[in-house]
Amino acid sequence: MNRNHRIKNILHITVLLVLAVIFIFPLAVTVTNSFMSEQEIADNYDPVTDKNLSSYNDNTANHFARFQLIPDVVVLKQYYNVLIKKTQFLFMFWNSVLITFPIVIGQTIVATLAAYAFAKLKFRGRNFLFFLYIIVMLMPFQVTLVPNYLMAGQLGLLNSHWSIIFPGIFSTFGVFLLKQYMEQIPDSYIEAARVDGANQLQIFLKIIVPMSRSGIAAMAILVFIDNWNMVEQPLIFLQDAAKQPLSLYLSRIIDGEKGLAFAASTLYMLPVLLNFLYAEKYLLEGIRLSGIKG
Amino acid sequence: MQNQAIADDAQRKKVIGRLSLLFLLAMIGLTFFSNTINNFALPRVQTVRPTNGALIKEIFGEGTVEVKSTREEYADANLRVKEVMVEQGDRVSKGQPIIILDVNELKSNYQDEQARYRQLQLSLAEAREEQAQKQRDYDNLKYLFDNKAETAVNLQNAEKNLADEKRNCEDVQLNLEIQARKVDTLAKQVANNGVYTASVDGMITELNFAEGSITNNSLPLFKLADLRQGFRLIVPIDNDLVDYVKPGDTVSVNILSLGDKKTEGKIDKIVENSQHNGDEKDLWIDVSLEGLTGGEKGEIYLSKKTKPYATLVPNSAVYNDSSGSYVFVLESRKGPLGTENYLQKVEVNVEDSDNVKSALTDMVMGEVVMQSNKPVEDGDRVLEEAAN
Repeated sequence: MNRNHRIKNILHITVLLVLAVIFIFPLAVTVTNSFMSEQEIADNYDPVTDKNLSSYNDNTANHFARFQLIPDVVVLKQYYNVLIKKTQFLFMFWNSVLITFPIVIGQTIVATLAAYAFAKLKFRGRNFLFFLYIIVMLMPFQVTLVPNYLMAGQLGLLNSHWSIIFPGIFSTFGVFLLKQYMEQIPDSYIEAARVDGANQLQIFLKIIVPMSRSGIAAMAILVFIDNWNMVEQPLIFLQDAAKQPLSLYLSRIIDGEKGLAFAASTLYMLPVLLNFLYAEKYLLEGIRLSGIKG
Repeated sequence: MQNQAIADDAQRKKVIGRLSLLFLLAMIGLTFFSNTINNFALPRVQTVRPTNGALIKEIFGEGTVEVKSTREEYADANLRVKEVMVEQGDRVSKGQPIIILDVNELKSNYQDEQARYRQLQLSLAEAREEQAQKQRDYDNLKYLFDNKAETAVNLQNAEKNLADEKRNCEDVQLNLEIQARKVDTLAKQVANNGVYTASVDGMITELNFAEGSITNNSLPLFKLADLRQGFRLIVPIDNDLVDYVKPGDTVSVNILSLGDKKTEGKIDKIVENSQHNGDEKDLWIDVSLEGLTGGEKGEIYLSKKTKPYATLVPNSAVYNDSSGSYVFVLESRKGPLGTENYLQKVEVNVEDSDNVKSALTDMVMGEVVMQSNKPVEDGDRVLEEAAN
C-alpha cells in the first residue's frame, strides 16, 4: 500500500514536472531572449521568419529556428528600444491600463450586485433571467461581436475606449462566477441580519461582500487577465492605432525589429504575473469554491 | 503554524505589492522621461528645405603666362659666333644688334664666287660668239647647197656643229644662273657684316649660341618675344567646367610672381590640353599687366551661374553608397508623446553640383537632413535642431 502510494507519487511528480517544463519553456525563451541583441535573434530565427532567406537559400540554409536559452552577450538594448527609443510601447501600455482598469472596477461592482440578486433575492423570472445570462456567457465572443459592433456604432462609441469598456463591464462571466460563490453563503447569516434590522444594502455591504472577498478577488483577477490579453475587440472597435492597447503591439512589430518582440512580451507579462502572484490564494480559492475556471 | 503561514503570505504580498508599485512607477517615470532621455540619445540633425535656383560654378585655376608672339632668327650658314651683344631676358628695341657672326671667311668666299661668276659671264660671251660664227657658216653652206655648189654631207656637218654650239651656249648660261644665285646668297650673308638685329621691340627669351661656338640651322640664333602683341595666361581646367566658360568671358587674374598683382583677363581660346587630353582643356586668357615678361605664375577665378534647377540641396545633404546617391527626408509623425521625427531614405540623382549645392533631378518633398551629429540610417528617429 505504502509502496504503491509512493510509486503513484513519483509518477504524479514526473508528469507534473514534464508538464511544467512544457509550459515554462516558452516563457523562459521569451524572457532570456529579451536580453539578446537584434543580430543574435535574427541569426536564431531568420530561417523560419525571414521569407526571403528561406526561399533563396534553399539548399544551404538551416531551416530550423534555434531555441537558444542563454544569450551570447546579455544586452539591454531591446528594453532600451521598447521603453525609451520607441514610445509606442509606453503609450499602448497606458491604453491597456485605461481600458482594463475601468472594466475590472466596473465589472466587479456590477457583477457583485447582480450575483447577490441572483443568489439571494427571490423575484419572479429570476431563473429565466439567469438562464439568459448563461446563454450569453456560453456563446462564443465572436457571435456577439456583430451586434456589439452595430450597437457601438449606433451609440457613437466606435473608435473610443468606451466601446470596449461598456461590454466589458456588463460581461456575464463575473455574475455567473460570483453567483456560484455567493450561493455557498448560508442564508441564516442574512436572516440573522434581517432580524437585527439590517436593510438590503447593509446586508450586501456588511455580510455578502466581506464573505465573498476571495470570490471577488478571483473574479477581478480573471477579468483583469482576460481583458489585459484581449485582442479581437480592440482590433475591431479601435481603428485608431493611437488608441489600441498593448495586446496589439506584437502584431505591429516589423521584420527588422524582431528583437523587440521578446522584450515587449516580457514586459507585457509582468502586470499579469504580479497580479497573479499577489492574489494567487484568492484566485485558487475562488475557482475552487465557485467550481469553474477561467 | 497557521499564524506562520499567514505571516508568510502577508510578507509575500508585501513584496509583490512593492514590486507592482515599482513597476507602475517605472512605467510612469519612463513615460514622463522617455522624451528627455531620447533627447540625449537621439541623433540631432539640422535640416533644410530644398530650394530652387541656379548653381554657381566657381572655376579656379593656375597657369603660366606666355608671350603671345615670338620671333626666331636662324643663321644662313654654319658660322662662328663672334659676339653676343645681349643676354637672355634683355629688352631690345627694333634694329638693335643681337648677335654678330664671323663672316670674314664668308667674305673671301664671296669674292671668289663673284670672280667665278665673272668668268662664267666671259665664257658665255665667248660661246655666243662661237654660236654666231657657226650660224654664219651654216648659212653660207646652205646658200651654196641651194645653188648646187656644195655637197649635202658638208651642209649636214655644218648643221650639227651649229646644234652643238647652241647646247654649249645653253649649258654656260645655266651655270651662270647657278653662280648668280650663289653670289646672291653670299651677298646677303655678308651684307650686314654678320650682324643680326632685333626685328621688333621686344625681349630676348632664348639665346642658343655662345661666343665662339659654331651655329647650325637646327636651332634659332635667338628668340625674340614681341612685347607689343601682349601676353596670355594658359590655365588648364577640368573638362566638365569647360561648358561654363566661353571665349570673350572676363576672368579675374592674379599674377603670383608679381606679388599677387590683380588684373582682369579675357578668354581668347579654349584648346585641348596636350598633357591631359580628354580630361582637361586649356584656357588661353589674354592678360596685360605692367611688368609681365612671360613665365610668371598666375591664377584665375571665375564664377558663373548655371541654368536654374528646381531642387537644390546642400552638398552635405547628399549621401552616397554603392547603389547611388540618396538624401534623408525628415518625416514628422504625430506620436503618442508628441511629434516624432523619423528619417526616410530617398534615392536621388544628382544632375549637377557646385562647391556648395547639388541639383537633383527628383523633386524632394519636405526637409532634408544636411547635418547630423551621429551617423544616421533609414528609419532612425532623430531630433531636429535649429540651424546655426
